[in-house]
Amino acid sequence: MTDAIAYSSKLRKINPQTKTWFALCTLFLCVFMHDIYVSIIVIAFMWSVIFYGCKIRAHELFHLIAIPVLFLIMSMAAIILNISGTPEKLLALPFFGKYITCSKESVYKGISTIITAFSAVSCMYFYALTTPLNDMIAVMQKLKISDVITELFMLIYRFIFMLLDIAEDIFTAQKCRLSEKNIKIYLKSTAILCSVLFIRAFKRADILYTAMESRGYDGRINTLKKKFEKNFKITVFAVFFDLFLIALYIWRK
Amino acid sequence: MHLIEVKNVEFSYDGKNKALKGVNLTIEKGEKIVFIGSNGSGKSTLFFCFNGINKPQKGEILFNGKKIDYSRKGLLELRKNVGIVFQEPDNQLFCADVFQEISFGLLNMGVCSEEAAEKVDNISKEMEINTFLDRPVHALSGGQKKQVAIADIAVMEPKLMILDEPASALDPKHKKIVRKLTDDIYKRNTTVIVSTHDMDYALSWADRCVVFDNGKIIADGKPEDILSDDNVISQANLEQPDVLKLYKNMLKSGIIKEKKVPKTISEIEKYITDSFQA
Repeated sequence: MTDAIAYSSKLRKINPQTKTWFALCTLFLCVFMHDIYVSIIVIAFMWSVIFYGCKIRAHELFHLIAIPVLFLIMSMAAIILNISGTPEKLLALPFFGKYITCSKESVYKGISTIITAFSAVSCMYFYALTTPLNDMIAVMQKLKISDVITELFMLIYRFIFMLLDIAEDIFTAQKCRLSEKNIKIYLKSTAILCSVLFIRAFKRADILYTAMESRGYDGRINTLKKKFEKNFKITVFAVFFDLFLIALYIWRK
Repeated sequence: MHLIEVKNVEFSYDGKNKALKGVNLTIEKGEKIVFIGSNGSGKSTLFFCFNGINKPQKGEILFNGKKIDYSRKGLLELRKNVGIVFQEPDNQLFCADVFQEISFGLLNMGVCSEEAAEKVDNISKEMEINTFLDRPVHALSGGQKKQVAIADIAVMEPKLMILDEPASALDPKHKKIVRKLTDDIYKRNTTVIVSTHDMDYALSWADRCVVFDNGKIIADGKPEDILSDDNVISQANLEQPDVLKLYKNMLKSGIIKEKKVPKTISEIEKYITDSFQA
């Protein structure tokens, strides 16, 4: 789903190398500086860019951030709340002879941690929602990451959708023949689905190899590397944004 | 010199059942050939013999007068010249996006990247796929995938181009596009072989028709002769093209007089209007 949004995003045309470095650097800055103001600025910036650049609907947004936000809230609870014998002033609930309790410091720590974490998540969302996967692969190729990895990435990206499609088709075909009648039949047909998928994957791989050989495959997947437009203004802006974060951090110390 | 000469070729996938049982065939440069025959009659098996994927157990195949050299280098050279468009584009396309897909074969041929980029650019404009060049392959429709599958073979400019049931499972719009592409490729001095189950297309498009049945070639000649031969049609379990059925019935009932065998609906229309005017 993120890939579809990224594909129609206004920011897709921006050089993916710039976007990669910007997202990565900002992410590292957030994590290492662990500063609440820096993180808030990053969150505000990233999400305003996402809302400006991508047509994203409310329920899509909910689907996207529900899981990370849930995790963050759970971990925040774990950081803030303590079980100890001595009750703190802020909150203390009796719990089997001890207290579930939290102090001012632990609340502050919890909130700053969750905001930092959310800013890092925002950086990743910015990247995922503005850069389609095939641009990411192109960046990997540019960065001279080992061919094995980029080739694997490419093939997985292509075939994961195909596998999902086939699985869905088989599943529908099974449902049409009452595979959901009772739990026993359901489990049995799911098992058949899995084994059939496995066999089909092997067959596909075999035919694909023939197809690649027919086009002169010699052990390496040679494809043209995409040329990206350089956009000086945006690069400069990205650098200044990160420098500004560093400056803010130093000033606050 | 023949472009391809097949001499008494036998081939079996599993060593028991023969998929090809002694095939003899010569193909000349600039021919426009259609292969017909039921599923599993050996058409695709023979195609993969042409580009060296299948190595016949008996008999030999000559390309440009030379026996096929099954060494790595020889095969690479052969596959430059014999391009096959697969029936199922999902089996042929494997790259993340269309641009990379089309460049794959070119770079394997040893074309330098600048030239390859130019060729990809040209072919995508020519085949009108430049609007989705940067799209991931899984996001394309079936017809678009087929166009890409044809483009990424055509870009290699092979001497012989084989299209395995190119119009199967396509909507009328894309069928039309694919047929136009086939004609365009033929016009660029490429020998074209198409396998099809569409008898009317076989009749109207091809100069030569080769009929397969059960691993053998049972007829070879002009499509209008072969497709009006009831013996061949029934032996290969095929069906006569509608145009020929109509033509024969009209001859029988005396509505039109015997003329050159029509190849298309519009030709037969003309015969009818002519006879009414007369």
